[in-house]
Amino acid sequence: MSILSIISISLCAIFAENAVFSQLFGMTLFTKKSGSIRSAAGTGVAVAVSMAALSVVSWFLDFALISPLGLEYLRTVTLVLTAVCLSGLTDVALRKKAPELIEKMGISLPLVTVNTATLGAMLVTSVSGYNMIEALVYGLFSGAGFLAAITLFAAIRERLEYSDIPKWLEGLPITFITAGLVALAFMGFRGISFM
Amino acid sequence: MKLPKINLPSLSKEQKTELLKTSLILAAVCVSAALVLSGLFALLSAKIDRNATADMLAVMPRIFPADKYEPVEFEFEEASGVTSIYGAVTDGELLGYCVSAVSKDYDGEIELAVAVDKENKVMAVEILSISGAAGIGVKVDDEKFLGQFAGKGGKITAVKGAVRNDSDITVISGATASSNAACDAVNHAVAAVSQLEAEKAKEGAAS
Amino acid sequence: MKKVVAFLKKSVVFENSALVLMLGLCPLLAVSKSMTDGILFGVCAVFVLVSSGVIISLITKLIPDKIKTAVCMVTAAFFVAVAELLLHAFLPDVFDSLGIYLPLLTVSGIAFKNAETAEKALVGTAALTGLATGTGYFALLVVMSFIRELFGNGTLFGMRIFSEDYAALVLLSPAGALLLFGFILALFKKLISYLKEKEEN
Repeated sequence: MSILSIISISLCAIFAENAVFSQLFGMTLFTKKSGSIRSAAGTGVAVAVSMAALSVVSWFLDFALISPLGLEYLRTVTLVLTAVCLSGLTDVALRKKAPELIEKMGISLPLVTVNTATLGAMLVTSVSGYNMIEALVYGLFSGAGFLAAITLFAAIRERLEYSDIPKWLEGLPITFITAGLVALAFMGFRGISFM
Repeated sequence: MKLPKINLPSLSKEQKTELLKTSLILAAVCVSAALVLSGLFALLSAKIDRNATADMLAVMPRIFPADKYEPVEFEFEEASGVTSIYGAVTDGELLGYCVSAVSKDYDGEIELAVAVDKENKVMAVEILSISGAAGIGVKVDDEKFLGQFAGKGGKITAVKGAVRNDSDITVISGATASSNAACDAVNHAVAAVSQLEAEKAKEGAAS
Repeated sequence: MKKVVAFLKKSVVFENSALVLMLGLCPLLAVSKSMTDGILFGVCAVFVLVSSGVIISLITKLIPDKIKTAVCMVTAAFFVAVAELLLHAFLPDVFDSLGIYLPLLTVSGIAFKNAETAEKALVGTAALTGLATGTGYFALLVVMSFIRELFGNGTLFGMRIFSEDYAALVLLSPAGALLLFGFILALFKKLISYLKEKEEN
């Protein structure tokens, strides 16, 4: 692990392997968001934080439990169970300590902590052979990539509302087509690596 | 999966029992799931292991004809890229090695099988798998390209134009990254074999 | 019988989980780049949805409310893990190319919603719902995989149909998936409104 590898992983996580545009994670969150840019950003931050935290947790699970005991076949069940339990615990904790935070996020905590983006980040860090710092970096920047994607998208959707779109493409179809175009742009980042 | 007691100082007795009951039920569900999966895994693990070696076993006779292939126990360094080594044995004599090595490609991994003789020179190379998106990486699965590696030893460099010397190979235009990846994998394989031979020589000298 | 047909029509067409309810998109878009992958993933999806639906509807009475979500997810994860193991043993190439998207089926919206419906239903209904949802998903997977593999790679099931020089490589990428899905969605909406009009007349 060197500074160069950390930089490489972070750039990779946010651009070349962007959670939404390269790995197609978190589609449900993406298509649900029809609110303002602000609420989209709020969701994005919440998901990013979950991704970072859960990446470290999944690294730890792999390090302490799965790899040493050869339990690769239990990986899915373990990761999902952990994510759901941590989500529940966080929900209870937040309701007691800071209920306004849940209001601010705009969508339900379970959806934010247990979705394809977070489980995707967990799976990647669990399988990847990164060490703990690298796993944290990956989760953090993957989350940042997701945040960027979802905010970018909310902005684009706002613009689309004022555009003249053919009737048959209005609504979700044009959203996906636009997402596809952005993903095309992101393809330009493929292959970036310092290693 | 009990909640840390510090967070909930004021639980009545019945809340505590309910919590216990809930945790136990969850634990029971998870444990039964884990047990069934373990059983299924026990049944299938032999097949899974056989699948893992099947590719290599099919390719080895093509790149390094021999009577037997014996797996070699080898301590792989981190990030060395080498996934397995087999010794190729004919008439009881170790003639060389077949090494499987992986290397990162444009958007995935390339896995190669490399036949290395006892002078650490490459004999033949074959592609085992290309995990990236179809279309680009496959271009390296070409006899002309892979044939360039034959007879080369030491560190092989991939160059874009004509070769400058014996330890160069030319990349496939339009598939530079994949060609570089293939070259890396071959280098990993050769390095592993020289390391293996060096260790054997040390052991031989020591005993 | 008529009720069953109406139910199937509703689940597979009018409330198709991916096209109408926007569920289960993540694995769908990522996996549909070749027919073998798409079809086998669809089979796994149907398997997971039906089995987890059945089990959840059976044990839902025994599970306290607080951990219902957790148990539903563990059940889905369990069946996904079974599918993973079976694929890993008998079809390792497909297993490798599906990669992390098979486990993601557990947390994708489609399994979630299926669990929700199964909680309140009887075993038979739960199984049928799982089957119907899965079939709708499977149909879409087949369509997308067919288009993406044929026009993106020039092959079908790995057999070359025409040279890849004539193929649009972009279809195989995530961008292609999103673009294609957008167009399919638009066409589907038209289809639905046409069908609805026909029914009203």
